[in-house]
Amino acid sequence: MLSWNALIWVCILYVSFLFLIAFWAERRAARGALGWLRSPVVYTLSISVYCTAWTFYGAVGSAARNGLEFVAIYTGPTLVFIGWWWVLRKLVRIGRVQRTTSIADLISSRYGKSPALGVAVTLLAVIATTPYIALQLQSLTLSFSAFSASVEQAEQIPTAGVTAFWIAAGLALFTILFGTRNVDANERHHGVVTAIAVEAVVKLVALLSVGIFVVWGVSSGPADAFSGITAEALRTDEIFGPRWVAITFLSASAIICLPRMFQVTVVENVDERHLATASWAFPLYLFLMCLFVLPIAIAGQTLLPEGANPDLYVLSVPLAEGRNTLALLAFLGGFSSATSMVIVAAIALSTMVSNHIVMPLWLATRQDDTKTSGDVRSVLLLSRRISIGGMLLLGYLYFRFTGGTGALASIGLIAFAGVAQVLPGLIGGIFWRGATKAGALSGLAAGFIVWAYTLFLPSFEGSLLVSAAAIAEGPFGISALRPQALFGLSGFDPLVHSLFWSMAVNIFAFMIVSVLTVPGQLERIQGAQFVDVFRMSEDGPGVVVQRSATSEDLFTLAQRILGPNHAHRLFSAAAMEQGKNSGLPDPTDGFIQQLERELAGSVGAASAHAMVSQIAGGGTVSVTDLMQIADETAQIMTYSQRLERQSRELEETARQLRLANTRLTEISAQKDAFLSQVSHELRTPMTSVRSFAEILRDTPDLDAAHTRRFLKIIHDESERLTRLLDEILDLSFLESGRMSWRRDEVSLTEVIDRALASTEGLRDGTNIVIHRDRASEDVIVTADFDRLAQVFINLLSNAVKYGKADAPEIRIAVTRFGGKVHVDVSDNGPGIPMHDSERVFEKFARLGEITLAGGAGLGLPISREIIHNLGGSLDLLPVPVGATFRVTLPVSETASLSARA
Amino acid sequence: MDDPGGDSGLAERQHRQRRLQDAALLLPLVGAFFLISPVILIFRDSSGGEGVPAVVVYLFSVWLGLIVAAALLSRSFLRQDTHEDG
Repeated sequence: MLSWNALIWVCILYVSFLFLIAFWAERRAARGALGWLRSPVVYTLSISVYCTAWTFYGAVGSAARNGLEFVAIYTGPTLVFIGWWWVLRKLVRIGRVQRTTSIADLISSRYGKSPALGVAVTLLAVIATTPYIALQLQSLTLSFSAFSASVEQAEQIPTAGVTAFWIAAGLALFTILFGTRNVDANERHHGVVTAIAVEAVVKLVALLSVGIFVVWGVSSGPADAFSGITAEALRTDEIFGPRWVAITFLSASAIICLPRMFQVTVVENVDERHLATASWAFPLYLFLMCLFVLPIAIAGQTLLPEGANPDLYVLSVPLAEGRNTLALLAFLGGFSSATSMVIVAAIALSTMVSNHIVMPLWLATRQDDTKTSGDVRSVLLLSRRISIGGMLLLGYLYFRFTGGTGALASIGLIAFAGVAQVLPGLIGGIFWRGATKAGALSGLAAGFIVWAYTLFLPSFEGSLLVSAAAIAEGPFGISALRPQALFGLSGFDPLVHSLFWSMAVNIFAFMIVSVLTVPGQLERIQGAQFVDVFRMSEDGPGVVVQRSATSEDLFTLAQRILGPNHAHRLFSAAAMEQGKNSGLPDPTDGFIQQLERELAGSVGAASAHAMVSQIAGGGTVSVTDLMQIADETAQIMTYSQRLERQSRELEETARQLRLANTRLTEISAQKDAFLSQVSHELRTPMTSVRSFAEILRDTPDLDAAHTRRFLKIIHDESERLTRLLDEILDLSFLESGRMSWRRDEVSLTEVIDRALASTEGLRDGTNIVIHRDRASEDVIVTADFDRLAQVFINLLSNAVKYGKADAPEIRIAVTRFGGKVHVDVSDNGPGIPMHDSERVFEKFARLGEITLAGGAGLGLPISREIIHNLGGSLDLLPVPVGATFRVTLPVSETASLSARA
Repeated sequence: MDDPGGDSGLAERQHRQRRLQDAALLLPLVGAFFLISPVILIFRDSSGGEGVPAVVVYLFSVWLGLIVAAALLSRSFLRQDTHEDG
């Protein structure tokens, strides 16, 4: 038999071993050489902190009392983990993206970084966890006493209270040493996690060993081990009812909402893929933990005397069989279960208390000088250390005042029901954009009040706030308000009754108030980032809040929270990203946001937001950004609008291409037509030149008069050819824009004079009368004199040639119109039909049959091209009699100015 | 897959991924059906007398079945993940 002292020594050795493990892991983490320490196996084992002493000892006790009911406490988490794709995956991603430090931080951050929600969740967590810690202390003291009960020297053994006190103090020391070594940027505690993983192995091995001993050592196999059991003992008739479903639901929500579970599952997660492994490995761990619970319970009932505490069967069965080593192993298993739970819960709660209660208070007291003074890190560390001590003290006090009564036995499920009140706000927050801060607060408060009234306070059996009489008869004798039969709904198990009412009130208050209230800007942004965490890009924040601060202020703040080294690293990296080789980065909106997130990894989102806001202001969000995150429909609409715009742009491009293609085809056809016209025009004079040259060659005795006449024809035709070629060249030069132009101040009078003089020969022998008003022609234009004269010569000769009439007359009218001048050249001939009004400007487009030798039909196209190049236009006016061509030219500006002066 | 870069390979992979996700969503529902629906009541009376009671066998084998299914799914997810990374 082990002596009391030996037991103490074993405990101290075991704890020292854990110290070494944690210390070694911290050292490796500091060197960045984590290796297998960040493997999925360690992650899974650390999650098994779910199995506390309540599992290790309590499952067997529960099996002895309530048959199969204990299984529901492990199938709930199993369902959550095999369904990790639904909730856990999203929580882990959000936790990583938002640098979440605790479940209170996650909820506060989701609802617009609300400090109020952070406080509410923290308080609820403290209230629900304190009895749970007390439960661990009780288990530990019970297990000590189970050993010491058989020891003779009873007077040496301290009382249960003293044992519990030293256990609590030892645990506080361990937790403070490894849980608050530094304010880690990501709130990860590699040392603690590794120690927890080792403890997980110890408790599994211990329970399996006891189980195997019971089944194959005491009995002769599974069939024999179960031979004493009856359906009555398994309680199969009663347990598969509402209570079974309620416990499954509670344990499922506990694995998500318990602060310590959130700590190991989400905060301490280093790789999302580990979750995939844990999705089956953790249920397997639970399965193995439960496998031998029933045989041990049966063995305890058959082997041990009546009245032995079923909660200690794991320990007392090996002791009764005289297996001291096995009993010691079982003791260490229970010790591991209790200590690991207390350590992780204390870390999680101290983080919550320091980030959500101490930090906001500290900020409020030094509103004015946050920019300059005070090391936030030391405040944080101190508040966390004090919180850890405080949590364990609370647990110890709770144990002292209620321990020994039967109240602790059911406290596990009561605590589960308490933290389950966080569930609606949590699940609603990550799946429902419409959830608001007011809704979450209302749901949490309403659910908490109903839970406290119907389950928590009655669990004290009248010693706290609600008297025993009030529990039995209702407060002031109002039976409708009986805590365990609200509104007369009696006949239910108190747990089911409380869970039904608290959850109903919680969910309805949460949803109805959410629907009735309007979320603020920050709430909407955070809501969108939580709900659509898989759709948002990971690094770039979807929406940037516009704020302004100086880099120096931000650096000071970062130094005070992250420490000089970390802050320096962060700012250097940001400066490099901005393309700066040295100095501080520019305080862009994106950088401020990134910094706030980094700080949130240490002090929580709400405190980080408050601190950064003190420096940079609350900030604004542009309407477009708000629209962007408005809701999913809007996102889809934006997307489809973008698609529509793109397709419209494509259509427009296609239309332009089609148009260009048509024009190219037309131009190609025009070119073909032009070429054939040119060939035709060249061919006519060539034919006559050739034929007359042949006559001259073949007729040697031609008389001189004929010879001269033929030679003249050849000469004239050659001239015509030359002129034609000149015109073609001219036109091609004009069209290609390679012509060089003179720009002179040209008087219209002089140009018209020149044109009339040039066409005088043409008008000889006709009785054409010219009408002109020399006074109105006194206009100066900027033009090339020769080119402009060429245009008027062409217009006048056309008028002479085509304006056949009995009393032909040509009228030249000049009118000023604003900054422009119109020169109309009209004849009173047959005119040009309207449908030919554009054709006359085409190349080789002589109208009808009236043609004169010398005109190749290029005159008007050339003229129009010249006028275009001079910045004017040449049009055919629709007039009833004859044809009128209008030349429009801009008036020279300098000339008109001098004229006015 | 033979042509992971090809169009048919891509479509096939996407389809596979979709089916995996659906299976992952379905698994806890199947588990809930066997563990907390009245189905469990079928086994409550068959205590059998000899050996391990039927209801215990039922509960633990459903549990183990779910774990095996989750392990297979998780292996597929992780394998696919490395495919995508590589």
